[in-house]
Amino acid sequence: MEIKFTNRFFLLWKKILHIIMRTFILLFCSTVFSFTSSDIFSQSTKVIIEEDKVITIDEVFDILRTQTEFTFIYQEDLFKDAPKIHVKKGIIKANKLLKESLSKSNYNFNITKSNKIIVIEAPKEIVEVQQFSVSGTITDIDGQPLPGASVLEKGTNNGVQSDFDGKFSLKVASSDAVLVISYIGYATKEVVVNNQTNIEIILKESASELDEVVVVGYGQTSQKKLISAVSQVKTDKIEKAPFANMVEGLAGRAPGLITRQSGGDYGSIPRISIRGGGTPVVYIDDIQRDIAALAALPPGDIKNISILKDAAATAIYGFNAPSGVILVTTNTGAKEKLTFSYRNTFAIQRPTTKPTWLTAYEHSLLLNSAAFNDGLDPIISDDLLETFRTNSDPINRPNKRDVYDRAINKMALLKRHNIKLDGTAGNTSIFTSLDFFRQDGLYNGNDYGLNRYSLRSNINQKVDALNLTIKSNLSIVREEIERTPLSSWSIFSHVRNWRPGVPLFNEAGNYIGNENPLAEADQKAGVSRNRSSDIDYRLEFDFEIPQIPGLHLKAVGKYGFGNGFNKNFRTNPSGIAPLYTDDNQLRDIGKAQLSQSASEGYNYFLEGHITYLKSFKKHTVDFTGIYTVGESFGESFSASRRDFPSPQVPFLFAGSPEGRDNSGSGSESGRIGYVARLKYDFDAKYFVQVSGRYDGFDGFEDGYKYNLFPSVALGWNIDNETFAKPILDKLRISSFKLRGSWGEVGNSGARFQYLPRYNLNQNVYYSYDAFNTGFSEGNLVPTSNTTTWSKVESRNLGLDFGLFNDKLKGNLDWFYYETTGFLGSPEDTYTTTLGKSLPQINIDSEHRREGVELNLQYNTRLGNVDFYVGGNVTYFDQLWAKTDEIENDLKNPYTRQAQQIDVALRGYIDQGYYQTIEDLLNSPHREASTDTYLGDIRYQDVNGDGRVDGDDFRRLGKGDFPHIQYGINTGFAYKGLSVNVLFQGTSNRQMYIGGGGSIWNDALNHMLFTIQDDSWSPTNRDALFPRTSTFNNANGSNNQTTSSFWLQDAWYLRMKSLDITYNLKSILPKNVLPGISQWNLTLSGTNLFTISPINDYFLDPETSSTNNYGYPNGKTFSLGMNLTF
Amino acid sequence: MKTFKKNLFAWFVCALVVLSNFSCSDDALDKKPLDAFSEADIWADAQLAEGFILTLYNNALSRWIRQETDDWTDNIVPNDDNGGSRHVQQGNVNINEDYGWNRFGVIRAANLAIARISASNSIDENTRKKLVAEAKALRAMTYFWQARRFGGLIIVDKVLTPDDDLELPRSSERETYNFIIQDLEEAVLDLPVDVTTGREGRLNKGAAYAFLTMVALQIGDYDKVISAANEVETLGYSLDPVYKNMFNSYAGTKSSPENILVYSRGEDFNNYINTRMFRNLVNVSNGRKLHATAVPQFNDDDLFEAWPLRWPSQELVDAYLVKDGTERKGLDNQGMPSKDFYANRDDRFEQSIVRDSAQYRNSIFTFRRGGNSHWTSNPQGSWGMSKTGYMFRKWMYEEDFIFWNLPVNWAEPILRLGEVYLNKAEAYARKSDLPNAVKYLNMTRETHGGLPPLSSGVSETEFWKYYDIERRVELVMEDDYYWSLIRWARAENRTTIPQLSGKLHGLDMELDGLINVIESPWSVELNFKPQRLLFPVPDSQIRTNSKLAGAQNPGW
Repeated sequence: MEIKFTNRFFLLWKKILHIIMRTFILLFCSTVFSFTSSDIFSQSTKVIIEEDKVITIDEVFDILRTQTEFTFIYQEDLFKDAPKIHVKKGIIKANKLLKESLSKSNYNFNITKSNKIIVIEAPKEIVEVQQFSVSGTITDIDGQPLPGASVLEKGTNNGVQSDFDGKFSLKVASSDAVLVISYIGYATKEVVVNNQTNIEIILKESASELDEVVVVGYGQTSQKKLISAVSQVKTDKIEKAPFANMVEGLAGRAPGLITRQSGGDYGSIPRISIRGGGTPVVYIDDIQRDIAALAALPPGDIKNISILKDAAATAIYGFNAPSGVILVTTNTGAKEKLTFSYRNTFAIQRPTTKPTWLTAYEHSLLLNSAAFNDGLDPIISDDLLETFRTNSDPINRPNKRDVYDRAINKMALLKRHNIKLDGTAGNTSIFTSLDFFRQDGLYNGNDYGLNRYSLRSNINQKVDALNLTIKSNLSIVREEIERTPLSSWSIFSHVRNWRPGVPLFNEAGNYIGNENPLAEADQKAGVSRNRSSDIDYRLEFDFEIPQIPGLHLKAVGKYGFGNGFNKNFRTNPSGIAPLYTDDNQLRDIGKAQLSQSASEGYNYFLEGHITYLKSFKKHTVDFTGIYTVGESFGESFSASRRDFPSPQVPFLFAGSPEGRDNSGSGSESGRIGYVARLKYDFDAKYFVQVSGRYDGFDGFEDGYKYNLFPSVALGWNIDNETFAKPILDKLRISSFKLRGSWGEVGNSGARFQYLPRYNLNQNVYYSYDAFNTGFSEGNLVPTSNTTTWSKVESRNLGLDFGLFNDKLKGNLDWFYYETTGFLGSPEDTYTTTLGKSLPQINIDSEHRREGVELNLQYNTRLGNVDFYVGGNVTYFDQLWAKTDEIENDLKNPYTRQAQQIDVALRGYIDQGYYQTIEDLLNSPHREASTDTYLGDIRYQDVNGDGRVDGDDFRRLGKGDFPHIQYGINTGFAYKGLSVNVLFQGTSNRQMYIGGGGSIWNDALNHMLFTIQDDSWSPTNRDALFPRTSTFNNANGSNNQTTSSFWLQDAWYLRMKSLDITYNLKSILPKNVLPGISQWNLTLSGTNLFTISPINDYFLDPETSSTNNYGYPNGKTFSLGMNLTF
Repeated sequence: MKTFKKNLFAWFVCALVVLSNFSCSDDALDKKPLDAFSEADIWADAQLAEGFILTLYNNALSRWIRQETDDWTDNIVPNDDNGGSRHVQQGNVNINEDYGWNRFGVIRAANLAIARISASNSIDENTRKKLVAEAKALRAMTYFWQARRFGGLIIVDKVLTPDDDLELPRSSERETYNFIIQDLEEAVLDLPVDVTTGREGRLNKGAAYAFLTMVALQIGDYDKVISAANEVETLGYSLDPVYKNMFNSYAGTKSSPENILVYSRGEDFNNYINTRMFRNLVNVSNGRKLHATAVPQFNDDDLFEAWPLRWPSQELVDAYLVKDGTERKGLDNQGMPSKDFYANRDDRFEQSIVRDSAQYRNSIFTFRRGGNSHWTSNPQGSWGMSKTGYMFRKWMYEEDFIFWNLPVNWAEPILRLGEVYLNKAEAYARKSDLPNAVKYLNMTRETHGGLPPLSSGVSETEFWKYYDIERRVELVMEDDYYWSLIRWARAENRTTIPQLSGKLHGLDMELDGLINVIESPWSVELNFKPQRLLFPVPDSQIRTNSKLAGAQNPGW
C-alpha cells in the first residue's frame, strides 16, 4: 500500500512521511468515526470551477486543496473504482462539491488539527436483492444528453451513472422504487419508477444552486461575488438567427449596450456604444481587437461576452477603456468526448422598406403645377403627358418607374457553414471551428458580396506532472469583399434620383443615359475588391505554484499579423458598364483605370501574470497582478494607373505609363501597463475590491507618459445576513446585493502633439508639367510640455436581486461619467490672428454622462414548457458641464454648449405654413426669404424682435443616436421545440430629414416618391410638404433652412430576431441515425418587422442616409440546420 | 525525471525574469510619427523649403482662380440652382457670414517662410532671395484679395506665437495697401525675369508688376500704376492677336504671349468638374432631352452633359459694340432679325458667347422657341437649358466631351497684359490724361475687338462709357467686373451702382428669330446697397477681438 500526498512540495520527504502517515491511517482506521462531508467546511466556503469538465475524485480534492486551507490524506488507490465527477463551470460550495463527489460510495472522514482531512472507506453494506430492471435517458431541457449523471435508488446505495448518451440501466428492488437523479449544476430530481421500464428524465439547470461564472478583465468571478457593472451576453440565441455580423446580433441583448445600424450594406458594422459613450474597445481572448474583429466572429465560436461598464471593471484597461470594454471569450473544449457538429444557415435578404414612386405621368403633373406656381411655362408638353398617361411609348417614355425593382435582387442570399470539433481527450481539450460566411449584395446586376473564412483552434493541454496548463489560441480570418467600383451610396443615390419617364435601356436592351444605376451596379462596370487576412496567435503558460496553493504564475504572449489588399478597377473613369446611345451606338466614355493599395502590419504583446486566490475560513482573497508590454507596426502603399488599352487585363502593368501614381505610409506604436487588482470578501457577504493600472502611452512627452488609473468597489450581499433573511423570505426575495464603485480611466487623445512637425502635401501644386510635393507646418507645440491624459471618472451604483427563488432576476444600475482635461486647443481666447489652432493641451472642460439601466429576466417551467421573458432598458443623457468655448457663445443661453443636454440640432421653430395673406403680412420673415408665398414654412420669431434670424435658433429634439434603447426577449422550450424572440427599440429619438438633396427638396428632380405629391396648395393646406417650385433654392432657401419642420420622430420597435428550432431527434426512433446525438432544424429571421413613424418617409429608422441614398437595411428569412455527432 | 521538473520550473522562473526585464526599459514607448518631417529638416534644405513655398502657392492662389464674381454683376443670369450667386445679387449679405476675413493661416505660412528662409544658413543666397520674394508676393496677393473686400485689415508681418498678444487692431485701408505695395516692391527685386516662369505658375517680375498695377489702381496710386505698367511693357509680353487663344485650350493658355501668370492643373488630378467650363455648358442632347420637333437637332456626336450655373445676360451682350464703334442694344432693337442684330460685332463677341444660330462644336445652337436650346425645348425641364438665349464660349474647350469626372488639363490666366493696359488707361484717365488713357484703352479694343480706335479727342464722359464697355467685354468672366464697378463707385464717391440694380434681361425669341428681349423670369431683382462697397467684417470677429470694437465697415 502506498500513500499519495497531493501536496507535491514534500516529495523529498516522501519516505519519512510514509512511515508517519501509515501510523496515522492505522490509528484512524481502527477508530470507527464517521463524518458526513457536509460538516467539514463552513457553510460559506466556496470554490470556483473554471470550466465544465469531468474529473476524478482525486482532482476534486486538488481543487478543494488549492482553494481552501485543507489537505487530504487517503490511500492512493482509494478512489480508483469511483466514478468520475462531472462538474460545471461556476462557483459551488465546498461542502456540496465534496458531498456530491463522494455520493456514490461510502467514506469516513477525520480532520486533524492542522486542517488535514483523512479519508477512509467505510465497510460495505449488504445490498438488497434487485428485482426490477429499469433503463432510461437523462437529458437537459435542450435535449442534450447528460453523461455521468448519477442515478440512485432512493434509500439505498444502489446506483449507476449515465453513459455518454445519457443512458442508464439499473436493477431496482421493486417496480415502485424511487430513482434519485442528480447532476452537478442541475436540480436533483426524484422519479417514481411506477412499472416503467424506460424513463426519459429531463434535468433542469439549477440557477440557485450553481452560481454563474462571470468573466471579468483578466479573470473571472461569480454572479454572487460580482461587484462591478458587468453584463453577460449569451450567444447561443444569436447563433440561430441569420445576423450579418456579430455586432448586429448584440442589439437589445444587454442593458447598457446601445447600437445603431448604419444601413444594410454588406460589411457595414453598426455603431455600438456602452451607455452612450464612444466606441468601446474589444478584447477577444485577452487580445485587444476592434469592433470589426468582433463583427467578423462566428457566433458559434463564442463562449461568453462580457460588457464591462464601470471603472471597477475597466480601470485595469487604463487608457483603452474610456468607453468601456467588450470582452469576448471563445470556446474551449467543453464536452466530455470529442463531438463533431455541422451547422448551416441559408437566408434570403430583403430591404426593410420599399418606397413607392410616382409614375412619369404623376411626376409630370407635379412639374407643371410647380412651373405654374412660379409663373413659368408648363415644363411637360400635353403630348408627352398623354404619352406617359397611356404608356404608348414604353421603350422611350415608360410611365412606370421601375429602377428600384430592377436594381434589387429578390433572392440575395446570406449563408453560413460551420464545422466544429469540440471536446476533451485525456488532458487535452480541443475546440476547433471552421466557418464560412457569405453575404450576397442586394444588387441584381452583379454577384458581388462578402466572403469570410474563419478558423479558430483553441487547445488546452494540462501537464499534471508540472502543474502547468498550456493554452494555445489560434485565429485566422480571411475576408474578401467585392463591391461595385462606385460606392453603394452613389448607386443608391442614382436609384433614388432616377427620373421617371426616362428609360434605362434602349430598344436593343443596352444601357443608356448617364449615372444609370443599373449600369453602375453591373459587373461590367468593374470591381472594387478588398481582401484582408488576420492571423493571431496567443500562447499562455499557467503555472500553479505547488508550494503555495492558490498561487499561479502565468506567462502570456501574443503575436498577430495581417495584411490588406484593396483594388478598385473601373472599366472607365465613371465606373459604369458600357453605355449606348438610343440608336445603339457604343459611347466612348473613357478607358479603364485601376488603383490599388496594400497594407501590412504586425503587433505583439507579452504579459506576466501573478494570481492568487485563497479562502481562509470566512475570508477570501483574490489578487491579480500583471505586467504587459506591446508594440505594433504597420506600412502601406498605394498605386494607380489609368488609360488601360483594354479592360480585359485588370492589373497594374497593363495601364498606360501616363499618369502613374503611387504613395505610401507607415506608423508604429507601443504601450506598457502595470495592472493590479485585489479583491477581498468576508463570508461572501462583504466585498471590497481595489484595482488599477499604471499605464504608459507612447504619444506624450517623456515624464508625462504614465498615469495611474485606480478604482474601488464595494459590495454587500444582504441575503447572506441572518437578520435580513426573515424579511427577505417574507418578500420572497431570494437574493439581494448592493454594490457601488468609483474609478478613473484614461483617454489619451492625439499622439505626438509635443513634437514640432511638418507635413508633406502630395501633389500640392502643378508647375512645369508636374504636380509637386509641398510641405506645411503641423500643429503648434505647447511651450511647456505638460500635455497628458484626460480622465474619465466613473461612478456606479447597482442593485442585483432575485425573487421567487431567483426565477425572476434583475439588475438596476445608475451610472455617471465625468470627463475632464480634454485634449484640445483652447478656444476661449481670441486666436484668429495666430493663423493656427493653439497647441493641444488639457483644456479646462468637463463633460458628464449619466443614466440608468434595468435588466429583468424571468424563467419558469409551466408543465413541460420552459418559458422565459425578459427585458432591458438603458437611458442616458449627457452635457458639457464646463466648456472651452468663445465667451460670446457662452454668454448666450441659446448658443452655448455648456450646461446643455444633448439635442439633435439648433434651428428655427416652425409654425406650419403661411396659410393666409394675413400670415404673410403680419409675421416676420427671414432676411433672405424675399419671395415668400403661401405654402412656405413660417418660422417663429422667438425673441420677438420682429426679425427671424440666427438669434431665433433654438435647440431642437433628440439626436439620431438613441438615448433610450430597450430589448425584450422571450421564448419557450417544449420537448424538442424551442422558440426565441427578440424585440428591440428606441424612444425619444428624431431624425433630420431636411436640407438640400433630402427627402423633400423644392428642386424638381428630387420629387419622385409618392408622398411628395402631398405638397401645399390652396386646396391641400395641411400638406406633408411645402409648396413646390421649379427653383432649387426658392425664396432664399426658406423651406430648406434648418428648422423643427424637418425634424421627425424616429422611435422604433422592431422584431430584431425570431427563431424556431426543432430537434428532429426527439421524434425519430432511437435506432434511426444512432450516431447523431442532435439534429436541429431552425427557422429564423432578423428585422422581421419594424414600427416607426419615420417609415412614412420610406426610411428605415437605422438607415445610413436620410436622403434615402443609402444601401437598404435588410431583413432576412432563414432556414438552418445543426447536426451533432 | 525529478531534475527535469526542477529545470523546467527554473526555466519558467527565468522566463518571467526575462519578461520582467522588459519592464525596466521604456523602449516600447519610445515611438515617433513615421509620416512627418522635423522643422529643422525643412528649413535646412532648399528643395524642402521650396516645397513649403509650393504649398503656399496652392493656398494663396486658390482664392485667385474661379472666383465667379461676375455672377454678382449684371453680366450673368444665374441658373436656378445657383443659389449663392442669386443671394449676393439680391443683396443678401449679412454680418454673420464670413466673406473671407480669416486668411491668417496663409499669412502665417508666408511669414514663416520669410522668417525661416531668410535665417537659413544652408540655403544658397540666390535661392533664399527668390523664395523669400515669392513668399512676400504671395502674402501681398492674399492681403489684396481681402483688402478689396474689407478695406483695412489686421496686418500680421511676423510669425506669432500663442504667447503673443493676439488681439491685434485693424490697420487703415491706406496702411494696408502700403503694406501690400511694399511687399510687392521688395519682391519684384528678387523675382526672375523669364516669362515662362509665370506661365508655369511661378511668380516673376512681370507678375509682380502686373499685380502692382491692380493694387495701386484700387487704392488710387495712379503714378504707381503707370510706372509698374511701364515695367511690364519692358519684359517681353505682347497682346495675343487672337483673343480666344488665351482661354479656349490648355496649350493656348499656357503659350499665349499675353499671359503673365497662369494657374494650371494637369489631368492626373483634375477633372472637368474642377474647371470653369463645366459650369457654362448646357445639359442637353438629342433624344429624351430634346423635343423631336426642335430645329435643328444636335449633331449626334454632341452630348452636352455639363451642370450649368450661369448664362450671359442681354446686358452683357449689349456691351459688344458694332464694328463701327456704335452700340446696338437689344431693347432698342426689338423685332430686328437676330442675324442682323448679331452681325458685325466686336470680334470678341463670337469668341466669348454662343448666340442663336451660332455653331458650337458640331451643332448649330438655336435659342428660339422651337429651337434646340430654348428653355422649353427640353421635355424634361428647363434646368440644363439656357435661361437667357445665350451661352458662354469663353473658357470652353470646345472640342472636348465634357463630363464631370473625366480628367482634363486645365489652365487659366490670373494676370495678363490686356488687363495691365486697361489698368494703365484707367490710371491716366483718373489723372485726366485722356490721350494716354485712350491710347491704352485702344490696345485691347483694336487688337482683340477689331474695333476702330476710340478717338483721342473724346470727352471724359465718353471715355468712361467706352472704358466701362471695354473693360466689361475684355475681362468678362475673369472676375474683374464686380471689383471695377465697386472701384469706380468709390473713386467717384458714388453710393449707387446702376449695373447692380434691377432685373436682368434675356432673349425669348419665337421661331421667327426676331429679337425679343424680356426681363428674365430667372433673374432676381438686383439690389445693391451702399454699405456693400465693402463686405462686412464677420460679427463674431468683432465681438471676440476687443481691438476690433467699433471697427466694422460703414453701414453694417
